[in-house]
Amino acid sequence: MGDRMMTRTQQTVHVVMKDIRMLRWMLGAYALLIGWWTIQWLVAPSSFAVLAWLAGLTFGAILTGMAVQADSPYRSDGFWAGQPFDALAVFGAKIVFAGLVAGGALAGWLVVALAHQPTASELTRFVGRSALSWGVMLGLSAMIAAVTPDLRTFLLVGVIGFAARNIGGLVPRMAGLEGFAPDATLMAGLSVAALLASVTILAHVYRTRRQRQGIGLALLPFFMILPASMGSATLERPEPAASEVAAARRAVIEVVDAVLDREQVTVFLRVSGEDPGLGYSLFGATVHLVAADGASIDLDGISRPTLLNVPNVALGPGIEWTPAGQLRLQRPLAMGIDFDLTPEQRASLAAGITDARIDGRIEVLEPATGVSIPFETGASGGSDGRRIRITDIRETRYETVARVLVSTVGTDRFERHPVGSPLPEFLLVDVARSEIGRLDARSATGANPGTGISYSDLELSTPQPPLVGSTTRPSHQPWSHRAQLVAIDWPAIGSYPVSLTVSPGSIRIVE
Amino acid sequence: MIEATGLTHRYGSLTALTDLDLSVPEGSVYALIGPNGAGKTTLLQILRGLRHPSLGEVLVFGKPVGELTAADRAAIGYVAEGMRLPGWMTVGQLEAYVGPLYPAWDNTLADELRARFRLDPARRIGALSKGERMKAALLCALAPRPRLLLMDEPFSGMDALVKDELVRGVLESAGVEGWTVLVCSHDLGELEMLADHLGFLDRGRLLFSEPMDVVRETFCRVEVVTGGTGETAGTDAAGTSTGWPAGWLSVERSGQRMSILVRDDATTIESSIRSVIPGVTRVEIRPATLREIFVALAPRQAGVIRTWETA
Repeated sequence: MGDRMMTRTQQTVHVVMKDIRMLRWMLGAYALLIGWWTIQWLVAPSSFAVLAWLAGLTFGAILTGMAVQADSPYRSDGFWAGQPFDALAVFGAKIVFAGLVAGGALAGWLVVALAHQPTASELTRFVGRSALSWGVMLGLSAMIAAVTPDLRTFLLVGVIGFAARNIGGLVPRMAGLEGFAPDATLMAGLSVAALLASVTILAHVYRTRRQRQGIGLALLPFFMILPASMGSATLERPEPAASEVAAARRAVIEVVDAVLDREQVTVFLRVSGEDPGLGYSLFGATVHLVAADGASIDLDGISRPTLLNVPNVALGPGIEWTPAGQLRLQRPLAMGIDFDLTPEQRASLAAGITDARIDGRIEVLEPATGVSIPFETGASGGSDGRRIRITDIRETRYETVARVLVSTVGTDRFERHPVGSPLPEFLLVDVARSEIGRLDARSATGANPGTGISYSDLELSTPQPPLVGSTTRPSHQPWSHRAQLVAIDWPAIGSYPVSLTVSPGSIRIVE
Repeated sequence: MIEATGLTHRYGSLTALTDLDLSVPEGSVYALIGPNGAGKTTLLQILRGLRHPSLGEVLVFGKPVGELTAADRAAIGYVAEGMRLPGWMTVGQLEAYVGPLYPAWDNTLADELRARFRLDPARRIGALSKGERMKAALLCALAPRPRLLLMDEPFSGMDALVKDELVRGVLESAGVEGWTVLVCSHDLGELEMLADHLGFLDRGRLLFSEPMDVVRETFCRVEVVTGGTGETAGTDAAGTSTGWPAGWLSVERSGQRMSILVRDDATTIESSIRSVIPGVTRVEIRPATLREIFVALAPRQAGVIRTWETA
């Protein structure tokens, strides 16, 4: 039939085509699942869509395992082993097959991501992370299939591995490490290493057919991915953006006054020199005190990010929004830092304070308009990695309530903010009349399920106060029907360190 | 064609093959027999490169098995009982899948074999009987016209007619094309027709390996009739041998008749019989069948000759 030996590449293609023919019905079902989940994520991102995504991932893993076991390197009674196949060609065929399975899913996922109109860098990161997630899962599946004798054992080992991984993920919580968040780069690196190890072990098992070695080696990638499962706990204190902000764009912060009581330091701040188009937020502040008796006390309590100013946002030619009504900040600005003083520290501080300093970082935010869509049911749009779809608009006597699905590309468990990216603010804008109304978000449900896209299901209601620049009530139906729903994002563009000196005389100690 | 030297293979603490030396000449049809668990399948799997020997060296086509090229491996046909064929394929699809792997695949021969085995190309392999699946595997092993054909229980599940046809087919091809065949089977009648060399493997050791002509000359069935029922030298009360000559592999006695399987020089057997057994009135000597050799050797324990006595 063949006049000369098939090359390794020809054998690889030959085996891939055979596997596709063998699993054609299941591959068809898989394609339908991917198509269905793509539509789910586009139309109604929800926990159901997450389940569909997970089902696709599991299905893909099983398909890969079945393809490997069809030409198992584990068994000596496999038909392929008696034929003049190049073992590396068969290995290559399994990798190509897994690539096709992953590629199909990633194609659907890419359609979902593109509907969010992400930036090039967001898209690159998203594709990379998604490819890594699928690669690790399918690589592990292929490796497990290669060192298990049959499909039943393969599935059993898969279930045990999944359970062990999830139990491992509970370890930080059981150990009281609620804020445990492994370094994102390290986790991504470990995932890449796990993928490479899985593929290498698969090649080794195919080449040498040494099952016992393969079984021992197969544990290695599993332990590599275990730490990633532990990082799903909520961060109490997210880190500010790492890149430094140019000096010209920095605001100057001064401490005006400080009050120290039993459980909190309240610091009053004055902000000057800020860029009116930027927002400034103080992160991770710690207070260093020197008591009159010479004792040095560091108060590193819980300090949530504190917004220091309210920037202006340009919504179009001649129309600018300043959320003064909604985000009116007291001047000087008060910031609280909670802590627990020991009796010894309390006694030292009672004698007076001779020196005080506050260290932290200022994160700089640049508010910008994101998605802008007509305020009507079914309207949808994407911009800068975020997609918004209005699923329902309800008029009541007092207000207009819109149901909105928001999904965001680029957040997963490796991201800096594992709880999901902050939600945007929503405005109703009538550009023709230069009227703006801020919508209140409530009943937010959503999740960052580690799929690379987080989602929220919101109810937005029109506010009771009059519109900025108008006396018209936004609940008025004709008005809202002319309006655009605009999302305002506050992405961080960088941060810079601050060290604030506190005059000892300005500190009041309250018992 | 095949040279194994000092071949040892272990599965953990179990030793399947022990210091085995084997030589299979080119163009021969070599039958390897032995009881279950003797190590026959392991040996064939090592020769096919499916297992690595723990110790020793195995040469096929003059090269270590691990260094065989793809072309070398395409010149080896391999079929084994229990081989897991892709059950979802039809017979025709299996041929279409396997054929391109072999430069020497012969479609005409494949058609002939399919007809001879009465295989329907449109039938799914998963729906075939055990014997039919073996025929499909044999078709794939024979159609590439291999230089070396390794067969592990190839007659399993086949009816007598097909076995006979297969044996004739292999003999014809081996003779005309100079194939070398190494076959393990418990179908001793078929092996008798097929083989020109015989090896006996027992608990991982090769008890003997000889051309079939030599086997036929040295393994003899001797029927002896004695004049009386007097004491016979060499048996104790338990019936096991104590004083039979070393070449007597089994002794069966029924009244005045004795049937002895002897491995010895055929020309000296009669004198040996008469010197050991008193009152011999008649001695008939014929070459032993493979079955008789197998039965005599298979359960044999070191130094013990099987002895049966019936009234």
